[in-house]
Amino acid sequence: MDGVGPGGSDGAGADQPLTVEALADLQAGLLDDDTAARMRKQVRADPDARQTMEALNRVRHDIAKLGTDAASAPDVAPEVVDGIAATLRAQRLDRSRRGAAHTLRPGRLPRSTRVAVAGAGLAAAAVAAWLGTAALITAPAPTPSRPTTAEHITVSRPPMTIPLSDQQILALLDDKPDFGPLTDPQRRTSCLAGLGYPANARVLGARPVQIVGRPAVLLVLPADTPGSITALAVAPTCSSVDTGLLADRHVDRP
Amino acid sequence: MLAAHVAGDPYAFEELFYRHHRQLHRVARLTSRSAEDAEDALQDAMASAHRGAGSFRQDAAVSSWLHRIVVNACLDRLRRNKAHLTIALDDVYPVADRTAQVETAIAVHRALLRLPVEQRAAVVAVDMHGYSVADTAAMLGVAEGTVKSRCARARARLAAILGYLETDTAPNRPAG
Repeated sequence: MDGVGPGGSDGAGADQPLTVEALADLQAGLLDDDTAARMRKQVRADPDARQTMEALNRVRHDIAKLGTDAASAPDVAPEVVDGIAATLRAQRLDRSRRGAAHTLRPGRLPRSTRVAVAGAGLAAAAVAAWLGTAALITAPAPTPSRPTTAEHITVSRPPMTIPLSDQQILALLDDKPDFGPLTDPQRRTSCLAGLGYPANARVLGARPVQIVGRPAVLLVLPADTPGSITALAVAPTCSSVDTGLLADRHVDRP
Repeated sequence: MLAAHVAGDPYAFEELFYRHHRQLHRVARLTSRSAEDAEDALQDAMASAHRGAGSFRQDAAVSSWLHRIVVNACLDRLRRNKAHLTIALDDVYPVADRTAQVETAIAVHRALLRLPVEQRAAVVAVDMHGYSVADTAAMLGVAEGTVKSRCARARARLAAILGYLETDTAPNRPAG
């Protein structure tokens, strides 16, 4: 490998060649403090090395910029976009049908069936739209609802609510968090990401709970407003891909 | 748009996906081993975001939130499939002609795709999306030093591919 410069004038015997790789190691924080300090001193005395450092910094800058540059993002194949949109549509229809927004965990769609699902989703949407339109056209005048509507007949499952009072949730703030199945920091990090929290978000409290017979982990996190907290009950398998969110509650601190 | 989705607007999330899909697909591709993996990860991520929108923190940007979910889904896949052989792509990605303003971005994109996926995922997480080395290491299931090393190798290689090491008088040769 080539060096980018001869190195500093002092302690030449101890100096390492300022290769692109060595400078990238310096930039990435891979070197111990003494080596890094010595190399930085070398770089200050070496215009070529400084230029290489600028090139490496430019790389980082360009990568960061790419993340926010919408104009340069390539077009996506229509079948890919349609497939994902159809999945979202099917998920929405499924949720509407079951009437429990946070209780469902649709399975992943194998690649081989994605097109079929996309078609089914579109067909379902079309049927739903047709039925809705037909219902609106033929619907009789509004009448007061009665206890025997379909709404009452189909609601049979208990509501998914956190089985703790506000006081019990607040009391978790004083206890050591019990993450249960999410004790592994890696799994917890993934779960928090799925919930929209940064990986270093501080979990204020936690404990395993049961919600309508289903195991869950209650996570207490800072809310969006000062003086309040958010309690989220997630599945024990919570991950960034599927949090399995069962219930949530906003609690004001006293 | 996300607030509309949470409030019950049935089309809001789909609209949100359409609005951001090109950027989300790009980041999925950059943090995935193959185009197929990227599509699967993007679908998983969007389904997850669709379900979890109610817990979204309103003080974060929706775009950032979606990007993070996509990156996480892709890194999860990479972690689960560590045993796969890494193949650096010679090329690339069909990119239509664009204006001169985005030429650099396209060049960076194409250069990233020439890196092994482990290096690519590390720099995309750290440099593009601002993850800490510790968080990236946790998501990939590797040591922090490994993430630093992958970032270092990736940046050195990218500097060479992009021609940033060349000077008028004495070009620096990158390591092979």
